[in-house]
Amino acid sequence: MNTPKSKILFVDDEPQILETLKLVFRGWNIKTTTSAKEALKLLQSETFSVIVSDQRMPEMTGVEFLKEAKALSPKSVRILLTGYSELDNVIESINSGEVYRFITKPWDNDKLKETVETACKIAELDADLKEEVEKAKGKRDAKKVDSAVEILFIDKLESHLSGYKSLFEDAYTCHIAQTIEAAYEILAEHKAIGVVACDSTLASSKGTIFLTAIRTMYPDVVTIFMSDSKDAQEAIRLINDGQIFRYLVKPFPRDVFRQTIEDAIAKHKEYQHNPMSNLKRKEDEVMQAAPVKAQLPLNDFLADIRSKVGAKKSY
Amino acid sequence: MNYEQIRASLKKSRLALDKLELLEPLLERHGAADDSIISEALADFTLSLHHLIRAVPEKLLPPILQNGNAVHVNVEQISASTNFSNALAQTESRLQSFIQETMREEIEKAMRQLSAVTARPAVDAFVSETADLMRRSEARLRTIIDSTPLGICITNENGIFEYVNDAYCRIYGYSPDELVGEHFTKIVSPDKVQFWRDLHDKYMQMTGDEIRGYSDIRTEWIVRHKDGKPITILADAARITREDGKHQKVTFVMNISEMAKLRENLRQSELQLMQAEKMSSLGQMVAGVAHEVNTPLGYVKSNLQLLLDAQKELQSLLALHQNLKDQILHGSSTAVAKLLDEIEAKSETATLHTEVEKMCLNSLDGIERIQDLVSSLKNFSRLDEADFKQTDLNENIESTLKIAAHLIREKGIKVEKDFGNLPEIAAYPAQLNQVFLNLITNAVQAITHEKGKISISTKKQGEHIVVKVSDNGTGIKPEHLNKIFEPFFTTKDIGKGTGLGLSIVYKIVEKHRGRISVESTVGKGSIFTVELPIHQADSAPVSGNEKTETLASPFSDDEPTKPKSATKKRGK
Ligand SMILES: Nc1ncnc2c1ncn2[C@@H]1O[C@H](COP(=O)(O)OP(=O)(O)O)[C@@H](O)[C@H]1O
Ligand SMILES: [Mg+2]
Repeated sequence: MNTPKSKILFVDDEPQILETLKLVFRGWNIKTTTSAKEALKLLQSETFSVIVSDQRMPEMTGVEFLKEAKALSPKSVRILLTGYSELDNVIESINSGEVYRFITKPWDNDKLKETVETACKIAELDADLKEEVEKAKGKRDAKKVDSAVEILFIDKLESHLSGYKSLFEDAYTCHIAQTIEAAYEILAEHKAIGVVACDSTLASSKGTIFLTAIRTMYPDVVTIFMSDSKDAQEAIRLINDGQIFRYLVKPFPRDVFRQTIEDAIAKHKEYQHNPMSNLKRKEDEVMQAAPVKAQLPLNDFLADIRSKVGAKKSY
Repeated sequence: MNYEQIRASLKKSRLALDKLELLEPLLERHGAADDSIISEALADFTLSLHHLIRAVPEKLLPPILQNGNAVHVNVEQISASTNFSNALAQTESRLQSFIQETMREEIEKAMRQLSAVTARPAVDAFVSETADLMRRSEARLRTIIDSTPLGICITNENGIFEYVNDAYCRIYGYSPDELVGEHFTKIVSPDKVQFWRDLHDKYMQMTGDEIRGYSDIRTEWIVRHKDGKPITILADAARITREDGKHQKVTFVMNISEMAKLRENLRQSELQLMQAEKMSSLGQMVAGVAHEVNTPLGYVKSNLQLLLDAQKELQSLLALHQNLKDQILHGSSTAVAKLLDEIEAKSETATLHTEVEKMCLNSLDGIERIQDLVSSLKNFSRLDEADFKQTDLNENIESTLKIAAHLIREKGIKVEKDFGNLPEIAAYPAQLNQVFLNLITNAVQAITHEKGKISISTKKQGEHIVVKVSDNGTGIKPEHLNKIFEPFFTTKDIGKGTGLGLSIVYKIVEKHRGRISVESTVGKGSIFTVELPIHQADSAPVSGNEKTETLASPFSDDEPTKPKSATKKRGK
């Protein structure tokens, strides 16, 4: 592995963790600090491609720190490296910090290095791959950009679906699906779909892998997961494999849902105008992932995605 | 004929008679001390009687009273002599029988005349009015007795039902016919018959004084409905004495099954909430402990992987050296030179092995930390130890502090310890740990600034050990001070506080016969003081629910349920 040039910042209140990380990343361009406040100061004077932070720290939590870091240095890719993942933290890191990865201690050195390296490359894309941006822009179907965004809701219950639909059908074309299979077909048919909101009650492991699959097939589609099971591991998978946009815990107020969908639509438009604002697209670019064609029957397709996820060398 | 007057006189004589009756016990007690009252009452009676008779047309009176004889009825002669009450009773019964006679004869006569000759509405009205009065008052009494939800029964000395009211029948599910004449043990479960027989016999044989002081009956019982279902009743009883001197027992019962069910539900939900609080603090603890363990685990694992890398480095360096040795012994000098260069180059890049010592030391440190944490977890829960034992409070507080260490460190709080030399006390260590953890958690949660400090002190003071947990946090508003020990009182957000922490603390301290108090200044902080007796009066402290439960009979029916202890006073 060629060690990237980009600068990486590690924040952990535990000095021993930092000592070990220094050894793991020996030869890389890294800085470490035990204080989140100190780190924020550093961010004001230096640019870091990647920021890796612990979650539980004395001055502020990792999520809080990354949120501030995002404001100071929006182009840095953010990673949480945490000793314990409480769902609330995971969800918050998804919903507010837009974290690239959520890694739990103890970690695996190789996977960690792999992940940080990819993150570095993603960050570098912004800096020096202007033509890549143009290329990606060119790839897009021109007429898609300005056409109205359509929404797909996936839920087992008819009543839920009509509830969701009624909130948005005045402004947007809404599609509904009661099964993953139906959703798969609808997605293939309607290219204007830009936002997918999926309920967790749909065969859980299938549901989460499906959201991951959607991002692989249609990187610009923004995904939202609606769950009532408070499962931190599931949320971590969704962020790490599927880069979902929001994780909503049911029940939620209508206003929150409305706002979330609007935000997602805005995000989708942003992705279309500037593909390089899309972490997922950047990741694909970096990994040189071959574009996935949704031609396989659904189950084979999902199995394919699942095995790809399983074979990942990084987090 | 003046019916109005007859009616009025009749009422008046009844009143006078009532008055005489009321005076009777008074006279018995005080002797004939005050005959003026008596004579007044008698005069009243006589007068009203006089009026009555006068109001009745002469021809309606019995022959002996005709021709003005009525006025000569002599009652004044009765003197307040030594045998006053006797005399009074005699007079009274004489009067009563006189008036009864009078009335009956008259009524009969009137009836006869009524049927024989034309209708005599006047007499008719009079007759029905009299009967009505009696009927009404009796009916009123009956209505009251029958409509009360209070079950009432009367049993005789042998325990046979003599009377049961509607409510009593409803409560037990029997009809009056099924009960009256039967032994009262018909309504208890078969295996409790003897118990109840004995209780009844004892009750019937008590002296008046014993009865007055006796309150065992006045409690909750679980009895049996006709259909076999248990019902919870609240009972009380009174003993009355019949004219013939025989005792009767009047039992009052109230069906409180609904209430008991509600109470049980409440107790259950309270238990569940207690469990929830435990789980929520357990959840928080698990999260904290997992983080505390995973942190050292993180660098131990990473270091071990690095050690493997270092080992590979060393291995390849070693191989080069082996090669070098071979070349020196058997090979060419150019090969040696080339190998030396190679070794040089490799040594420059492969430097990980120089860190091996540090990695090992750090890892050992990490493992020690994990070990420490695991043992304080064990100490904290005391799963492997007897519940109740000699306990070193300082040690307990230390291990609790370890458990809470992550909370404290996260907020950058300084902990000051001032531990005195303490004798061991007999206690439930795991429960006391809960007390300290709750107090410490509250203290941590109360601190919102960056100069947080928690002080914990212990000292022996007379026969007590005093533990103080103080913080420089937000403090408690004066109007909240007397509420904080109540279950569910919380000022914290949902998910952060259940409001049960301090109520659990209170219960545990109470169980150890200790005391807890709090002083607090808003903006400055709070001091919680726990005082625990060094010696418990008996071998075990005040038993909690679990103890009473084991003492109670395994059978659910017919056992008197222990009344719950009255609400206790809270710490100041
Ligand atoms: N050390 C403290 N400082 C300030 N307030 C406290 C402290 N300890 C307890 N309190 C107050 O008492 C309330 C009840 O505490 P507790 O019974 O432990 O429930 P909880 O912590 O779940 O709210 C708290 O909500 C808080 O308002
Ligand atoms: Mg509390």
